[in-house]
Amino acid sequence: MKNVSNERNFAPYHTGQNRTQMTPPAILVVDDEEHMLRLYEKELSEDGYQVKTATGAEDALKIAQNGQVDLVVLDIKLEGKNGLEILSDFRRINKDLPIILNSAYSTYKSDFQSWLADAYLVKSSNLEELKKTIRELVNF
Amino acid sequence: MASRNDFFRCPQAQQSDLNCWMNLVTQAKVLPTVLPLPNLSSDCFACAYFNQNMSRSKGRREADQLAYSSLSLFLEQLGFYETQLDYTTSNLSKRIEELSILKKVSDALLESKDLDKSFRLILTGATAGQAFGFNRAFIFLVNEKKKVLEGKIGVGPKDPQEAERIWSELRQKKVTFDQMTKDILNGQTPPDTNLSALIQGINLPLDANLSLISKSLLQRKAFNVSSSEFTQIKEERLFSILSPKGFAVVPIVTERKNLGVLVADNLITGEPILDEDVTALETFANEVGLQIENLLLQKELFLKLQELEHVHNLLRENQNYLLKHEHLADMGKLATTVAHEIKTPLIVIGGYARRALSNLKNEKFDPRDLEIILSEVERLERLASQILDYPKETKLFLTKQDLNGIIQEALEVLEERLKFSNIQLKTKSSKDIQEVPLDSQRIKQVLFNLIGNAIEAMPQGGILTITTQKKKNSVKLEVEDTGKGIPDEEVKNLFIPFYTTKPKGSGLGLAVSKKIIADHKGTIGVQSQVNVGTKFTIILPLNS
Repeated sequence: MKNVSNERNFAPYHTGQNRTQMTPPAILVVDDEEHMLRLYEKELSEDGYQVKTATGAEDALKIAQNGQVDLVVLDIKLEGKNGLEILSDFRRINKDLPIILNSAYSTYKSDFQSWLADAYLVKSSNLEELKKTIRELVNF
Repeated sequence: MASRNDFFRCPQAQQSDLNCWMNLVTQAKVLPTVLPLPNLSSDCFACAYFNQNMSRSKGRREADQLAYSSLSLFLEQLGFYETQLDYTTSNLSKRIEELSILKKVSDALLESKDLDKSFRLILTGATAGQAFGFNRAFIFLVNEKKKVLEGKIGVGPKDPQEAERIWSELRQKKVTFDQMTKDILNGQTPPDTNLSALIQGINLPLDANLSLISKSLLQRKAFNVSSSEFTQIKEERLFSILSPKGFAVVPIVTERKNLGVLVADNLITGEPILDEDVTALETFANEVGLQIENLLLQKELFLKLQELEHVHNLLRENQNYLLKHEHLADMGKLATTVAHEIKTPLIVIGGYARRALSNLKNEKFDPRDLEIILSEVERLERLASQILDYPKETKLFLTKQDLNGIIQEALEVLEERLKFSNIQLKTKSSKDIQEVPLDSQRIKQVLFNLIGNAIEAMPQGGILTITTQKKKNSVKLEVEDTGKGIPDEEVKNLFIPFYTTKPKGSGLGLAVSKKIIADHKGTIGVQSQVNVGTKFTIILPLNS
């Protein structure tokens, strides 16, 4: 796993390097729990992010290809393709896109596929750690 | 022309070499006895020549002489006959006794399952009273691994004092051989005379050059070892045990195998051992050889059985241990799945509660956050009641029902889903199952679960086959799909409560189905192959 505190040459997913200070970073949250998505959406948008949501792999990839995405918060246990498979798909397209795996389970940490992510955070009702990691990764 | 020899020939016997008793006796004075005197036989009294000579001699001196000499010879011969008869009779009675002992020992050996008891029987036979009549007897057995003859057991007194004590005791109590064999079979052996202990440490090399006793076995020959031969042999330890006057050694063998030897001596009485005694003992050893072989095989078998039993016990213990741990592992899996099931709603509730708390004071507070909290709490409540409901004893309402009819009713409910998923339905029904004792609601629930799973396993469509079949005392119901199948490592967990491979599954469908079938005293099993399909098989008893 990459060290999240590293200064990195951040490459926005779709729009290249053109992000200005005026446009807030776009965060894609992928989760199949409706209420969870709503919570993340509210909390992150209140922090100033532009929040996009998807409930499955297909939606997630479509959103990433059609618009600006600067970071992905990715649940693992999903219907259809699971988060680790989606992670591989994203990496095949853009190896620099910051991705945070966010699961209720800690067991996937031992799955080497999860090592492709920039961070692995176990879900918690306290979103402070998630927000802190996002801030560091998108430099916002 | 008659020769001199013809004169001596018996006139009765045609062309025989038999000599005439009369002619030989009458000529004895003239001719020195050149020919052996034949026995006077009953035929002579019927012989005309004999009678003629006898009657002619009456009243004449010469003839008196003849009568006298013939009578004395006659008496002498009678005496010889008598001794021979005596000898034959005693021999015969001894032989009969030997045979009776042999028979008794053989019979007792058939009853005996214990090697030690059997040896004791054999040796008691060899030392019993008048039959074989040895003072003491020993058994040595081959140890194939060590290549030695091992001293096993000895019967008889150790020394004259002991002999006096034991033998007078036996005389007083009038113990018969039958009684002795019975006692041995019942495990009431006379107090050990330490004779066994004396020979048990003795190992003789299985080499004909090194040991006379081994030689007997290896050459399969009986020996009557005299004292002079005895002193020449090198078996010093035996020298101190066996009679210095000599001993008998006979092999115990079967066609296939050299088993051991029987050694016997007369230490106490010092009576010489006759060759006939050795022959008799050899016959005895031949007879019991087969039985000893059987016993040895039996013992080996018994040991193997014991070994197997031990292994079996170990396995059973391990199985219990494994089962216990499997149960614990199930509990662990159950706890894990439940914990995960609870975690998501808790995170959501917690997240919204934090929001609500921090937003209460400002205008951002949104009452809809509380609604979400409530709905997640309800979800938890539902989950909790599912868990609490699960292990409850369910009461069945058993009635005799047509199983095919129930399957039909279940399929009607699922008809739309099957059509929508592009699944072709095949049923193969046995007509003979109209009276199966079952709880129709529960069985339908099982069918919904199984068919529902089958539909989910075939998102691209496929074939669902439902088969019923009447067996002798049961009904077999199979639900088979052509879906994606279940990997081996998941199959074993299928029936564990709350275990699920489906993102939205409760993990209860199959667990509940198994419980329902078990309540019907039936069984449910599964066979599955990835990318081929899955088949659930239910057996329901007809007489529950």
